[in-house]
Amino acid sequence: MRAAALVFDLLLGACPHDMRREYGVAMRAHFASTVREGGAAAAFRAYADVVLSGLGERVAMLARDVAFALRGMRRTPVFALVVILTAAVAIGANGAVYGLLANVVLRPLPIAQPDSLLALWEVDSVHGYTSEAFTYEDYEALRRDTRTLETIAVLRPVSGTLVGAGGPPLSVRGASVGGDFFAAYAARPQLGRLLGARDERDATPAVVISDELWRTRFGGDPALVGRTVRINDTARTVVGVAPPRFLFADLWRGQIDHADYFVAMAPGAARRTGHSVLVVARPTAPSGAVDADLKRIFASLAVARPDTGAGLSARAVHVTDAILGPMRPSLVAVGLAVLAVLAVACANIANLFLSRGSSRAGEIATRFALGASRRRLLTQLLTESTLHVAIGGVLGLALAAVLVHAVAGLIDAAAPVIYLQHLEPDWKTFAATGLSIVLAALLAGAAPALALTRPDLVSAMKSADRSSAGTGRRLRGALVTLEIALAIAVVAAAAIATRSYYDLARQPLGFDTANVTVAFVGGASPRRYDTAARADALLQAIRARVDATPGIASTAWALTTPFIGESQTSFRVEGAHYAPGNEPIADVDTVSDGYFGTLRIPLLAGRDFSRRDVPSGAAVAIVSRSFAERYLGGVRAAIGRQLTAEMSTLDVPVRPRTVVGVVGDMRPHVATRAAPTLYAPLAQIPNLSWVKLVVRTPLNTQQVAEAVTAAVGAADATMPRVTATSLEHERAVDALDRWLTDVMLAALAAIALSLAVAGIYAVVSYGVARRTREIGIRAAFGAGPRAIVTMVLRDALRLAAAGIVVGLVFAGLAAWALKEFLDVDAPVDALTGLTVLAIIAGSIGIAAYLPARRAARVDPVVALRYE
Amino acid sequence: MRSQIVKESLPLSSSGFHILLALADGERHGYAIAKVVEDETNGAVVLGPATLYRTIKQFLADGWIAEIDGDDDRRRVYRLTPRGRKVAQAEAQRLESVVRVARERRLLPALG
Repeated sequence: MRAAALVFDLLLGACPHDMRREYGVAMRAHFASTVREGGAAAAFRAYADVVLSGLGERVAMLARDVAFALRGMRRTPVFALVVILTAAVAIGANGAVYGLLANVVLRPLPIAQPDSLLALWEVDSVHGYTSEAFTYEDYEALRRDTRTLETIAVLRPVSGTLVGAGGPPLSVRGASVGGDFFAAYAARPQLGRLLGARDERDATPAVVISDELWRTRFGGDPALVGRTVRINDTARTVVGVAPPRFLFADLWRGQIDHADYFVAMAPGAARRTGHSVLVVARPTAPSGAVDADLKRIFASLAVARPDTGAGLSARAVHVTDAILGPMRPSLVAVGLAVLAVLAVACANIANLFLSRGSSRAGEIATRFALGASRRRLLTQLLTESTLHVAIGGVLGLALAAVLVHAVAGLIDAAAPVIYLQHLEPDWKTFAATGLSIVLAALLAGAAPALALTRPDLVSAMKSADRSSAGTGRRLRGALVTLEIALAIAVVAAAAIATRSYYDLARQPLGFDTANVTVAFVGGASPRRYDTAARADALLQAIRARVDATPGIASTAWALTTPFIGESQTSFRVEGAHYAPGNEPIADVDTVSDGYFGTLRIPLLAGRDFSRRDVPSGAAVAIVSRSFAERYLGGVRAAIGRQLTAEMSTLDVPVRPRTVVGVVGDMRPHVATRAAPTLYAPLAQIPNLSWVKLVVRTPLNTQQVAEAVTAAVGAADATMPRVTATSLEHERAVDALDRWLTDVMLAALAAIALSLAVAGIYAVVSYGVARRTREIGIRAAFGAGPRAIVTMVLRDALRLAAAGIVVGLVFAGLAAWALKEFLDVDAPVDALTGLTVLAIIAGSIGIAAYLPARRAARVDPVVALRYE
Repeated sequence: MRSQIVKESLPLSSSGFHILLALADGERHGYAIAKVVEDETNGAVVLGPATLYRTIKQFLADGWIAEIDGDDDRRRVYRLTPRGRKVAQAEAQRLESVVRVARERRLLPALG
């Protein structure tokens, strides 16, 4: 019996609180009587009844509350609209930002086992940089000496020309892979087999082609396996087809990538760099053991090669961090900004409910008097705010979907990022948006509901003296302070980020992007052009033909151009002394004569490269102004100095080079500063693998691509078609992620500021309305309109002052975080500071002035009519 | 206007109507209401504790029944209000007309 009663007590929880409080005792007594007469069967019937009826009552109550709230919304449509739109904007912004975050940062990489794959970073403790470009020697040492690694995959991007197979020569991107490359990505062949250890050991002429190439070039022919194709003049046997959509991490390019074909890595020059290494640790390896193992291996390498190995080591990071890491801070900044916007919106909605609630004080007091519990009223008020926010949230979700697609389209049009090509709102985005709706509803609804139902306030409200009923007045002030402070922080962050970006972007790049097209000339057979003279002859032939095309002003060859590719080297200046491995580092480029003229980079001293700088001639170099000033004693003094640098893997043996010219500095990226740069003549180190023809011409990129393709075809019919891009386009793409961050921050700042201003407006308006009687008395006693405006403005200013003070602290924090985590540094100068302050103060002023003017028009007769 | 409100409340739930019926000839406490209903329906309608008090709560709010002040929380006593009586009458009339139709269609034997 006692047990049965206990179960009943427990099940009573299904009934709403009010019902339990009022009838709990009676229901228990009822249950006891029923059981006494009806036994166990009656007990179970009662259990079922209490659960079903209890829950039924809860649903009925909710339905009544929702119906009540809906009636309320119909009564005050403007209020409802303002709240709904506020919620929609904030939740929409949240959903959009979260949708992008989810797709870029939070989604697992589209590769197999992204969580166990570790990327290796080479750490140069002397120069303090990390890179992902290991040498073949490093990879061999890892494979030979490791005690903690289970799987080692190595990759080096290559490119080539596919000839034959019933089509014109096709330029293809490939990957030279070694170790357990396919095993690391858990790849299974779609056809035939993948590459294995034997291919690497025996250097078999095997090739695995991608699913895409198999379908587009070979028509998905299942008999392809075993046939021979020619890539870069080498006959290779197709041994298999990779699985569809096979993606892998290319740390060198810092992205998830795909390739058209895969060949086994052949032991080439041991010091050749550019190998990215991914590993999987043995499951038994304790944490920290991998890094210790790497340290040990590289320490022994340093002993083996004291000239270049000193100070080099490696550490392992999760591949996700390696690839997405650089994007994270800016997305986190945007994420924080969007949370601030949500907080401002919640504060705003809370304020609106508070203001309206105090005009409903009478209603609330009446319901208390009729015996409604505080809990019941709270539920009802919360239902009301939740309903408003939820309707706004649904609108916001639609807004988010539109925004995400717009932004993704923008990114996709400018710079295809593989992750964003399959952008889809996933359940996580919906869940997160749902969560933000619930959070917003609670934050916005709870404070006013609690304040409005405070028993002492209720009694105060019952009294006729409205002015003493400062319902949640302090709370409203605090909310406005918070709104202003957060809005200032977001506006400041946006201003700093935008300012620093435009500071950089406004500085001259040091070259002229207008009317410059870059043509990618690839696929020359390394076998056919195996000597410097032959390679140089090919480059000369192509360039001469393009130069002769009508409309082409000038041309030049380069291995890297602004925005496209970059490369660095360490060097030694003759006469200076360096500790081993302690040489300085500079950007390096290999270019032909005419490069500086074509890009309009000024020649400050000495001469340009010329046709006489041939492999057999004296080795020469040109340096940038900052290089000359920093390392060679100035622009004039630099001419004739000698320095030694490994310019490329083909530059063997390394010869000392004489500086023959100094050119102006240029910034290779929109958002970076100029770095000391060293140029070597391409004619002395011909390199056909990544060569680009830089063309100054008013012709469009398509026309340039046609002209260069014609020239290439005339020189060597086995080379593939040429693709081209304009430097203007590359400049636009270059700063896209930064631009996107800034645009999002600016948009969020605008939203936060408008919401905060609306909040101030609402509070000041409410204050004026509430004090109509007082203002009327003042007016009756002779206060002029000007005095009344001043009075209201002074009150508003007092309200805003606290927000501005707290906001400046927040802004300082935001500036610190931007510098610390994003390396975004803008001097908080008078212009930025004053602009932000002017925007904030101006907005606050307008928000306060409008109600103040209304107050000044108060007619004392009307205001005091009801006294 | 009043009769309009009464009409809108119809038809009553069977448990609701039986509760009103149980109170039609005098005041009763909660458990007694359930007993009377069970007896009068030969056990066809059994009012569980939550169904009973949920309905009582609603009828109180609607002003159809009233609670008679007492000091025992376990035995709370209720009576029908004039308004509750009107609602019960309206429901009885509605049922009577339903029964009349049933007789005309010969589902029930004709009266006497």
